[in-house]
Amino acid sequence: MKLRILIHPVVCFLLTWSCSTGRFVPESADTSAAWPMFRGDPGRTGYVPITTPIPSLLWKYKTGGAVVSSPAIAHGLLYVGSWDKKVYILNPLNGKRVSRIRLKGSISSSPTVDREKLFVGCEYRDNRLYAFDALSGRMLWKMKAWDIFSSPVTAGDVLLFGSGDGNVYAVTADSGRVLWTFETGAAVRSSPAIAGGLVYAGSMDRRIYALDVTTGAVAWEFETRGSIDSSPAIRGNTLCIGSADSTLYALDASQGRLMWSFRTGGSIHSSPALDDSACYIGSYDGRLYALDLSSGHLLWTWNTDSIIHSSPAVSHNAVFVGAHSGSLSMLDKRNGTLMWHYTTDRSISSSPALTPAGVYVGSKDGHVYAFGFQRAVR
Amino acid sequence: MRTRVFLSNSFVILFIACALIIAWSLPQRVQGQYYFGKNKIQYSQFDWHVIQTQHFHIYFYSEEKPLAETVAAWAEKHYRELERKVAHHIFKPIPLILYSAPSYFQQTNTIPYLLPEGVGGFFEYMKGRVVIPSHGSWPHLNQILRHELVHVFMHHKIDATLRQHRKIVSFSAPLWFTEGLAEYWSQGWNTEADMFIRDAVLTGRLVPLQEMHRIFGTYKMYKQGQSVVKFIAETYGQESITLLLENWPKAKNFDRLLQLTLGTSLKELNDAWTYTLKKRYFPIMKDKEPAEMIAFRLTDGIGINVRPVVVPNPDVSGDQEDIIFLGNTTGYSDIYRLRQKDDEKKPQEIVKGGRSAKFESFHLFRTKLSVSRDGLLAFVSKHKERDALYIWNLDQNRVTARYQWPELIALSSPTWSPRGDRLAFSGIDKGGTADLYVFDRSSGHLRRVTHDIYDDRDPDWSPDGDHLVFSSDRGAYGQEGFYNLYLLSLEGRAVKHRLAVGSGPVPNGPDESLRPTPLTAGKHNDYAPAWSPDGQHIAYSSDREGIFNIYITDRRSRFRCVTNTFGGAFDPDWTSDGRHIIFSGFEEYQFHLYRLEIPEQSNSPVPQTAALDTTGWEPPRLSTQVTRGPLTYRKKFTLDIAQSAFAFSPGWGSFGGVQVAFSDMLGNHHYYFLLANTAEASQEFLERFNFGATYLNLTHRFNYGYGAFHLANDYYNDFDGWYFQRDYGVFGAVTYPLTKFERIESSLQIKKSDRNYSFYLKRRKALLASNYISYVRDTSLWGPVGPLDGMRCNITLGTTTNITQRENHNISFLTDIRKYFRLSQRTSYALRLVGYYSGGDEPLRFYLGGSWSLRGYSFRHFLGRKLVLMNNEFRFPLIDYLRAGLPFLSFGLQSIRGAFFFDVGNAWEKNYDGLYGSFGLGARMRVAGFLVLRFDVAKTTDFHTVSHRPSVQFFFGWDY
Repeated sequence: MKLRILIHPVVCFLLTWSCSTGRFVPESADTSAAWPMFRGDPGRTGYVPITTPIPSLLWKYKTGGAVVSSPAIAHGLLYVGSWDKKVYILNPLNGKRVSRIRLKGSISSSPTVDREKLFVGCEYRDNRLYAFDALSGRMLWKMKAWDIFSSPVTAGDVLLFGSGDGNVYAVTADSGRVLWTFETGAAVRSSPAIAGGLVYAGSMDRRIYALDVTTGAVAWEFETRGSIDSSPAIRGNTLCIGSADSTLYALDASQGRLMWSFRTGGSIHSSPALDDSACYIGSYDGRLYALDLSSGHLLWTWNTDSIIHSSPAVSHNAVFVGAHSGSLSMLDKRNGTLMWHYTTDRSISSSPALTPAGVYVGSKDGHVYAFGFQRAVR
Repeated sequence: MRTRVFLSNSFVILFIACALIIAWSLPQRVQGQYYFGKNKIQYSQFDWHVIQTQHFHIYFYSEEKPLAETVAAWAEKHYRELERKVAHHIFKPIPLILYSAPSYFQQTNTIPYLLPEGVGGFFEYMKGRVVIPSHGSWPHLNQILRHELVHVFMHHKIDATLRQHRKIVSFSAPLWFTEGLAEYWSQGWNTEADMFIRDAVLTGRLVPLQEMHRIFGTYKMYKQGQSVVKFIAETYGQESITLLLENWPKAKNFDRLLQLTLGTSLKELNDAWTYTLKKRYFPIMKDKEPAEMIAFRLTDGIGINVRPVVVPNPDVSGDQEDIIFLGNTTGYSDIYRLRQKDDEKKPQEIVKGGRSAKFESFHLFRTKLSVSRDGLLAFVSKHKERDALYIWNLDQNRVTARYQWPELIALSSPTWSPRGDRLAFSGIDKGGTADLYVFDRSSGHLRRVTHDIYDDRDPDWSPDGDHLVFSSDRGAYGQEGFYNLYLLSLEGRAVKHRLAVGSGPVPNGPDESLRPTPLTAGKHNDYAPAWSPDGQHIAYSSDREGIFNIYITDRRSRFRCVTNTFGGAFDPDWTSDGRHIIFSGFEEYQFHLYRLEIPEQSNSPVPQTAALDTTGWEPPRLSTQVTRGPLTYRKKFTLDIAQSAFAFSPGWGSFGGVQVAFSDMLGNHHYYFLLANTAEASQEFLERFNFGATYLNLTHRFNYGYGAFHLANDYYNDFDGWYFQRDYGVFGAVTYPLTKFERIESSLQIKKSDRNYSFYLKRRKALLASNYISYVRDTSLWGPVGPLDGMRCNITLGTTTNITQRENHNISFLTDIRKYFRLSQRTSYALRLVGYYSGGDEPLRFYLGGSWSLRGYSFRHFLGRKLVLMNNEFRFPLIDYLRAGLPFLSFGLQSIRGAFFFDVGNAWEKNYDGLYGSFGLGARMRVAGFLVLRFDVAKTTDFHTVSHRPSVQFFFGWDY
């Protein structure tokens, strides 16, 4: 008798649980708003063609470790990794946790959502790239690489990412089967960008590589004087990327020819943001630079008094950037004037994710912050 | 040499404070490990202020305000640069405490220990304080500042990264890496570092990275670490260092960290680094010579022999004149006299340093000596609060004069005028600047002849008496730390330098400066100039070609090199005939004296190529970076330590407690609180509460403390068995240091004491007042496992009075005298004499037996209220380094020392039954830098028979 009474609620629980592990998209979710990967798009431009008003703090969610991963927003959900070894799935409207996935290593890589799959890489000691169902959190597959900082990008059914073992991997998005690998001379922390059938990635061996997406064959490579963990950004035929030699390089994306370079006062780990006419890049000299995209001429600079590791996000009218002093700042894109800022308790290495609803960023104080726009206009 | 970091000051003080509360009520035992020690004396009182900048709180006193403002500007600049290098932002202001002179720095209470003279600054991680002194050179101070800030950033970065990864425990960075990184990021690579590494490689003394523990804490470790970090940065990129710090949470040990980050193991890194060094340095031997090949070596043995000065004697040839120099072959810094004509290379100590208040320190590397034509030796020594200039008669072997000036804290490098009526020297004032002074002995007039921010050092008087030549950083490259030579005419009108800081309150001296003219210039260092006897040339040490060698320059600034060593040559001085130069040469990690016959000039002298400029440099301005201040310093207490402990034993019960310690930023005021409970049942909880509160004031020379306590515990001794005792009361203690080596201590405790004897059903209640007074003296010099030289003694008299009964409760007399007779550099005979007596109704009891007292007998074998002990021990080196290479494990053991001993003693209650003895041999080994393991084999005797079987004892503890 007692056993039957015990089984009945257990069965009910199991049935309920199994039903509830279906989808966790919030009812009021804006599923159109998307920043589904690091820098927002496969070209890693960091640009969203919206006009953004002054934001205000909407919510903040505390994880168990620093958040250096940049949030990805898709399907009305926010996905972000933390150094507490978990991937958090939050409701971007109110910051409530929808789900979380436990892994075995810290997560610096930014998640990528492609269709209904969530991809995220894990650092040492996990060292794996994972694929989950983006709407249920169920693991689809995993594959072993090494100390992954790079954020994956998809080109059709191919998933590409860099690894701490020095390889650029191309795997099938469905199963994680390795299609090809390309070995560079050192760790690949840069997040690959895709344009025109080529995948571009920087390596700590000081080189930028352009590889055929399908075969991995080298189209060209370009050597700088410093290691590269900045991610390339591509607009049209112009590829921009920063190097630890303090220089921002603009290359011809199809041939790898140097178009122009700009030397800052400190090493560059931030990834550039590109809009139609300008390139925006942060440097360890504490400045955000706005450069003419075609010529590399300096348009304006803005000084934070602290280093910039975070990569800027750009709208029609503003640039959003985080700094090591913990501040997230909004600048007037025309002249770099400070329009708004918010200070978190620790450094910001995460790069802001920008949608019409708001701007989202992680901080080393362990929080994910959401700042909402009253009316963002496309 | 700098030592660093990671010293837990508060725990030691707390231990002592708790000992004040508890120790007097417990039976005494013969241990004597911790009640000696030298003294830190607060001679000076400082009027502290604070400047707050964007990232720093800078604590300074009013005399050093200009220096503090410059330090603040430098600090902000370094902060910006290090933030980029380490990719880390520090969110709290960094406390930076500045002292303008070394002897002020040694008075600091930010650290409880006595600072060795070689410490250039430190970062203390409990409160995150950086504490640095000026040694007269502002660029050098800047370098020290940057060195410590590297520690700050490294500590913060690793700490934050671990916490952000939710990792509580991690491995410690090897000290060679920590210090090597700080050296490399503060200095880059310079000729001094190159000299040490070159010497190590060429003489086969480079220590592998896997064995760096063998040189733990030494200057050699600093330089090797600096070289390795340089190699990592050049091979793997500057950013690889940052990556190492960021990867810290991922690794279990440093070797794994290297593999993860650089893809190389420690051994592979060592092999690659060593190979690179050999490729770099071995070819040098093709063109350079060891010093012994070009000059005659005058000293032998192990150690440092520097700053030679010839005793002028025109009646003999230069190779027969006596030489006076500074050396430390005994471990103490002493002044020696070498008689060249004796040919035996056995210098004689003429002035002993480091053992008395009169000659507390001779500042081994910082100051020259000088001998006048009539045989008077001038030297500098620390004497109480500041340095003193001494005149020593070489014939009479005694001090004939001592000079000190209240406004001059540090002195160095005195030089006699040709007529012997004046002395010139370098002096550091309270503001932290080093200038040249001329003192007229007959009139007592002191004249300041330079007055600016530049470091002027090593003056030498010209034979005609009209000029001084000296080394200074006032040149175009001085701000980067380079020194060139300057001539100063002592005639003519003085001109005030535009960069004179402060009013330079010098008695009887004008606030003006003479204008020096450059003799050399360039991005290199020229040190220790010495005029030739004919006044036509100046010999000096220079690294202008990458290695320190001796050069001779004429008055037209043409120079030639007269030594070509690969080690390094320093401190030249001419013999009276002008044909020889005596110098100090560096090789095999030692400094020895050499005599060089000046070679014939084979090539034409080379003219000075760099422009001889007089423009100088200006320190950075702070004004825009100050956010607040100067503010008057106010005490603000922050937590230093909070510890808790809990223990349970089924037989003995439980114990739980917590202790916390607070102190102010300058370390002058401390509060300690102890809370514990030994209840075995809930109804005992209140009765068995232990509480202690202590306040310590270390501000003045007279240190004092007071507090209150309530203690309730079970105790046991062999006489009374088990008893429960409850004490509550107040106490006070004072310490007055007479000198660095001697002090008087006293304490008073008044308590209500209630003792309940469980077995005897007896109870004793009393109001007790205890007074203790001690004289402590310590001049010991330590080897790896214990003292080797000097002496230590502690003589204590104490009485406890039962105020209720108005009678004597107990009286105790304790004496512990230890003398160490140095037999050779590494051997000594150690004698200890101990006498304890306690009488009265509740006397103290003393134990004897075991590895720390009467060896061969078991621990606490003898017990009584009276005790005598004599230990005799011959201490000698046994094994310097032993390496075991097992198939699965390799390890090294070092500094294993041996001992032959003979002990005699007894402890008795009432009836004395004669003396007991033991004799045997033992070995001691230091482990992990702070623990000494002891192994003794002894036979015992009652002086009638000898035990058949030896007793073997294995324990821990320093030699007595």
